[in-house]
Amino acid sequence: MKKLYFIVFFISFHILLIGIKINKQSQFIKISYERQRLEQKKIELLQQKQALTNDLYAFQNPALIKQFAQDVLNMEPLNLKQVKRITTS
Amino acid sequence: MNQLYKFRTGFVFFLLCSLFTIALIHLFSLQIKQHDRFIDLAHKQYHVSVTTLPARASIFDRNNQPLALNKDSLAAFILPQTLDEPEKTKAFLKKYFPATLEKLKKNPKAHFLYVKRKLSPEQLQLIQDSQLTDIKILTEPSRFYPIESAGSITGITNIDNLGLFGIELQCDKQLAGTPTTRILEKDARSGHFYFSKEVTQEGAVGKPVKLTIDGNLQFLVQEELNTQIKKYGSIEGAAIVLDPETGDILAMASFPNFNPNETTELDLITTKNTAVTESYEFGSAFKAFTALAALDEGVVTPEEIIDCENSKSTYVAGRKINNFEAQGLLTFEEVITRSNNIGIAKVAMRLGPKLYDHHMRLGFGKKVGISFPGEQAGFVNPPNQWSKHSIISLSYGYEIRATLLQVARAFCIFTNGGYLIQPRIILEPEEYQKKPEKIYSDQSIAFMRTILEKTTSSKGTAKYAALHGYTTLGKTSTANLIVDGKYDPTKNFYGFIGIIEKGTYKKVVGCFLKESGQKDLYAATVAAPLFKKIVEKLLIHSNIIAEDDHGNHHSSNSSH
Repeated sequence: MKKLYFIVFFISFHILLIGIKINKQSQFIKISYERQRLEQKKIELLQQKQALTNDLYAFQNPALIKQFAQDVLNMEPLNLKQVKRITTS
Repeated sequence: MNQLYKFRTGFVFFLLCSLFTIALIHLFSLQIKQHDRFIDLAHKQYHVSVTTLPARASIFDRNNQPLALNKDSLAAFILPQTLDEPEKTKAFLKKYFPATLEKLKKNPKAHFLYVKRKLSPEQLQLIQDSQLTDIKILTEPSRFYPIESAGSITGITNIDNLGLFGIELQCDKQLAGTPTTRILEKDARSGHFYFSKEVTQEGAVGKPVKLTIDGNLQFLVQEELNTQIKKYGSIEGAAIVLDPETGDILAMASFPNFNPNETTELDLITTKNTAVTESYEFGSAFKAFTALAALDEGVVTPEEIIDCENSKSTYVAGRKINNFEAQGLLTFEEVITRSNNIGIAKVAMRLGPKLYDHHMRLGFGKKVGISFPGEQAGFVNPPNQWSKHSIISLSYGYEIRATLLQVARAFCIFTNGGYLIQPRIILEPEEYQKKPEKIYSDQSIAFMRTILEKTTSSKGTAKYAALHGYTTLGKTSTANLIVDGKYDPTKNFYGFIGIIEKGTYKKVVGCFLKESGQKDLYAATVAAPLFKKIVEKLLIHSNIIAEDDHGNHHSSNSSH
């Protein structure tokens, strides 16, 4: 009877160890996949950031600003004679 | 019966043994004999080598404003071997991308074929509207240039994102970085994912480049140049702003120029950085250097009276010399301020071959050292190749070719105390820069400063360059261009090299226009006003404002 218990215990213990090992491996893969998914997401976000940065600098293009100032705001280019430095003593 | 049974049993046993033997032999073959081959095969299937290029580094101006950034562009491609709807796809290509169809006809067995790289939004829409599953889209790295007027400086990258010209080519290795190679462990189902990753070759990210250029000033200078080019119908031109102390090139505009963000149909002529890649006979601007050499050698004094023959055309040492107006007795100072060819030729003859040494001392005939792709060294005719008239030609800027950058650099000596500086265009990473070398005495420089300042006075040829409230020095440059081996008096070069000063603020500005649709023009009316316009923009941009006429002390650099 003792022998039978030992065999059952031995097999159960090993099944448990195998289960733990499988669980560990699947957890590892799961986390690894999650990490890679986040890395992919990070790349996509960086690309979006790059695109937005480009848009921002595109709007800062002096040629566009000048056109907007002249066409929409009816501004004129500044002449050196029109500029005065005011200092207080 | 018993015998039959034994026979059957023996036969089945034999058959099973044979099958087992075959299986064992096969197993032996697979597991032992071909072990290495299958291990290698499995390794290839499970391990994928991936090489990734780092993102190309950016280019910035001196104020950290980006001049070149990364941008993803879209490319359309097909896999000719696995087309689902070949007829529909071919019909679409024939209509909208005929060049690709030609390529497909030439290579029907190709595994991969680009339909179009750097797709425009319209082309992308066209492909999406077609709903063809055979045409696939992928993203590729490319560049975006926020300040279009800096295109001739930054250059562009090619379709593979490698530097093609300009700074993109000059600093290609630094900007591109080096690729990283990784081995990924995958299986058939992992798709984008992997089990493990091992770096086999560590790469390096690209390092950004910071230029000495001021992006906004570059735009302003380019605009002024374009306006003047349009006004006079010129075919080419350039303008440069240089710091005479540090050698920093603050702006360098060229015409014709191009939009670096639209390069599908690029005319190579428009990609030139004219201030560096083109050399010209500058004409009268070189009178300043001849005069400096003569004063430095002590062969003339500013007050000496020179007989300028009171004629628009005369012969000196057997060579016919033309002048824009008849002038009689002039002091040497007036010879320069009124740009008299006869007077300067007579003084240059006293110098002889020493003039060549002075030109070489000023850095003509060799590259200035900015390492810009396509930079020209110019040409100085050496004395052993001189004709008997060469000294006369050289005295007023013929038989010597120089780039605008070289002439502007040489002009720096008139405002930095006689030091020859080494211009630079790359601010960071810092490159080796030669220490400024004093090449002229303070006395010679002082003489020339007085003369060049008078050139911009009401009696000088460059009166249109003068700015009230600022110190302006300069020299006009009108020269005939060579057409089919002969000087053509109808095709001229109009240049102006000048200096603007206000207190400690000093900048050298050079500009030129090549040819004009109008007649009877001189640099004084074409290039000097351009200099003035550029300087006005420069002063406003730099916040250097002169005192007003009412005696209020509006200091340019102080605020209390």
